Amino acid sequence: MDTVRLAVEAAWKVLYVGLLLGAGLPIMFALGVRLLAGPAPEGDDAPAYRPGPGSRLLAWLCFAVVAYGVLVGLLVIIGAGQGKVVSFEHVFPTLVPKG
Amino acid sequence: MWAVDASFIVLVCVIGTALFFDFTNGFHDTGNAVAPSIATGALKPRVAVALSAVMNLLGAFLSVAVALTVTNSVVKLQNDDGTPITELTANHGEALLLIILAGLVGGILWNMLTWLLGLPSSSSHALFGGLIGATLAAGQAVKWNGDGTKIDGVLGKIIMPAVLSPVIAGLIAAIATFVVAHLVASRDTARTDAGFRWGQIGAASLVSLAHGTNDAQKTMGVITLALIGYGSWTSTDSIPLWVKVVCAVAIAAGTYLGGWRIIRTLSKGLVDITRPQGMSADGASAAVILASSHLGFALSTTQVASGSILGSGVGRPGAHVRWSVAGRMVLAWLTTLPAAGLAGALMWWIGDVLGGLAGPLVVMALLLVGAGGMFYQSRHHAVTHHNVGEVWDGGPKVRKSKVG
Repeated sequence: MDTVRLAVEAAWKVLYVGLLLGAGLPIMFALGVRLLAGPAPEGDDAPAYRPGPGSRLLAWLCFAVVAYGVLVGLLVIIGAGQGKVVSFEHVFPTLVPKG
Repeated sequence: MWAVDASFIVLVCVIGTALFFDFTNGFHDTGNAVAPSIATGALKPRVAVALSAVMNLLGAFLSVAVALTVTNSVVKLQNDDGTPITELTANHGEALLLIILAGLVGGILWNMLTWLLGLPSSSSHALFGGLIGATLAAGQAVKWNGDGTKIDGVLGKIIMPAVLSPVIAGLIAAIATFVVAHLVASRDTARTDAGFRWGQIGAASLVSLAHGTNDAQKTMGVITLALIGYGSWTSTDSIPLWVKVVCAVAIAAGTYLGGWRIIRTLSKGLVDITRPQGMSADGASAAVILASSHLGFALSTTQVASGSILGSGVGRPGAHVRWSVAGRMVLAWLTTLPAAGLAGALMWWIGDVLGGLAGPLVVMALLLVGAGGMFYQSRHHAVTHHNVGEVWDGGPKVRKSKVG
C-alpha cells in the first residue's frame, strides 16, 4: 500500500507545517494583541491603558511575522493559479515552475 | 444536420449543469471561510458573504494555468495529455458528454441534499463521487489507487485526505485556541476582541481566495474537457476566456447567496465561538489549506474548516461541543463519495437507456425537479442572514416565530 504510506508521509508534513503556521501565527497575533491590550479594567472609571514603547515594538514585531506569513500564503495561492510552487531557496519566497 | 443540433444541445446542457454545480460549490462552501466571523460578529452576515464572494471571484481569475487533467486522478476518461480517450469521442463526444453530465447531476443532487440538511460536506468529493459513479456505470475505468510513485487515485486523493484532514486541522486549531485563550485570559476583552476581529477577517479572506482558485479550476477543467470532447476546442494547455469568466461568476454568485443552513451549523451548531477562538480556528484553517496546497496533499477545504471549528471548541476551556452535530457531519463526509456516485451512476443509466437527445434531456429534467423540490422544501424552515445567528435549538431549523 504505497499510496497509504505516501499519504501518511505527506500528512505528517502538513501537520508539522500546519502546527508551525496554523498554531504559531495565531499565537503570535494573540501575543501582539495582548501586548497592546492591557489588563482587564477594574471599574468603569479606570484610566485608559497606554502600552509602553517596548510593548508596542514587540507587538508590531509579532504582527510583522504574521504579515510575512500572510504574504507567503498569498504567494501559495497565486502560485496554485499559475501551476507554480513557492520556493524558499533564496530566503525570500519566490514562485518557481512546478516539477 | 439534426444530429449536429442534438449534440450541441447536449453540450449546452453539460455546460449549464457544470455552472450549476459551480454555483452550488459556492454556497455550499461559504461557511468554511466566514462561519466563525459571523458567529463572533467580526463581520455582519451580509458583509461576510460579500467579502467571501469577491475573494472567490478574484481567486477564480488567478487561475491562469488550469489543469485539464483534474479528474485524471480518479477516473480514466482522458489520456495523459488531457485529451479524452478515443472511444468516448465518437459523434461529437456523445459518450463523454453523458458521463460528465450524469456525474455533475449526481454531485449537484448530493450537494443540494446536504445543504438542505445543513451538513457541511465536501463539494469536490461530491463532484468526484458523481463522476466516478457515472464512469463505472459507463463501463470505463476508475483509478482506485495510484501506481505507488505519487499520491493518486481515489484512495490517495480522496479517502486518505478525508480521514486525515479533519484530525490535522482539529488538532492544530485546538492547540492554537488553548494557547491564545490563556494568553488573553486576564486582558481587556474590548481591546483584544477588536484586534482578533482583524485576524479573523484576514484569515477568512485568505481561505476564500484559496477556495476560488482551487474549486473554480475544477469546473473550468470539466467544461473545457466537454468542449474538447464535442470538438469545438483543441488546446490542452489553455482554456477559453469565456469559460473562465462564467465559472468565476458562478462560484462568486453562489458564495454571495450564502448557504445559510450550512453557515448556521458551522457557526452555531458545532460549538459557540468566541473571538479569540474564532481567530484561532480561521488561522488554523488558512494555514492547513495553504500548507497542504503547497505540499501537494490536497485536503478538502470543508473538512479542514469543520475540523478547525470543532478543534477550537475542544481547545477552549469551558466550551461545550455538540458531538451529536459533529457525528452527523462525519456521517455526511463518509457517505458523500458513495451517495454522489450512486446518483451519478443512476443518472448515466437513465440517460443511456433513453439514449440520443432524450436521455440527456430527461437527466436535466430530473436535476431540475430534484433541485427545485429541495429548494421548495428549504423554504418551510428558511435560514437566512436574519436568523442565522439564532440560539441553536437542536437542529439547523430555526423556530418559525423567529423568522423575520
